[in-house]
Amino acid sequence: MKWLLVLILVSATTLGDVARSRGMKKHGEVREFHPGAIRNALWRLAQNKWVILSTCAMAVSFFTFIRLVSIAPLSFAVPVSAVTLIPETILARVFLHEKVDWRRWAGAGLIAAGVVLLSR
Amino acid sequence: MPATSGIIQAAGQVSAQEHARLRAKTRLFTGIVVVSNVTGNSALTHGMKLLGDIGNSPLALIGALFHPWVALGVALLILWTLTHMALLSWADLSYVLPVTAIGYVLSALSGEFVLGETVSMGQWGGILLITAGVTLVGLTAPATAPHEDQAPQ
Repeated sequence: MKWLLVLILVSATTLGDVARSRGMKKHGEVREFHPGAIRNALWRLAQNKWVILSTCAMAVSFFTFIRLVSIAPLSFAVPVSAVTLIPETILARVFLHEKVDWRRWAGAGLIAAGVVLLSR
Repeated sequence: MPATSGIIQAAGQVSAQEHARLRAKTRLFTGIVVVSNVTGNSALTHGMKLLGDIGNSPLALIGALFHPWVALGVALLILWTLTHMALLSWADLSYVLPVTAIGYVLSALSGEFVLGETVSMGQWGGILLITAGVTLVGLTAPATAPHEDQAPQ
């Protein structure tokens, strides 16, 4: 049960983050933050298919995470959720066409290793 | 030629100003994303621990949302969601994901200095590795992805 939840958590979080990034780039830079501008942005985002996909995936990720922390220690749930750094960096390069240079690869690796050490 | 060089110089200044504006905005939003995520997850976890094992029923999961600590956690995570979305409207995912990982360090340090928990030598090593990774990624430009009109559909 625990490992099934981990698989669902990692897959849903990765899909959620990548789709959110794609959808927000499609929306364009958010520049205004007064209530009217936020309302308009939320209305446009509610019709953005990438943001809708991301929201569904994030909801699955959220409920899976709270289920996981109710049956497993946080010292297990936190490092396994950090595993998403690696597939998300790969998808950012391949699917989102970001320039992932050696500093970003090394940074992602150092952070993933650091989270494992930190959670022991 | 002086007119041309003046235009180039002015364009360079605008570009530098735009770069500085984006950097400052990215730092501000990264800070809000990190703090709302760390406090939101802490409140949520505290609430779920108080509730104990709630089983697999979707109704039980929805019912848990009405516990005060879980509700506070959810409110903070909604703030996290909105600021994270705004940040991703201009910054790369491969930039945002690593730099917001500094939240793991803040959680550990708050455990040491606020809750009086002991951080082991191995955990200090982890804090050092995460900080080095965040610093390394923080040195890169926040936005490198092509604009929407250049991006694949």
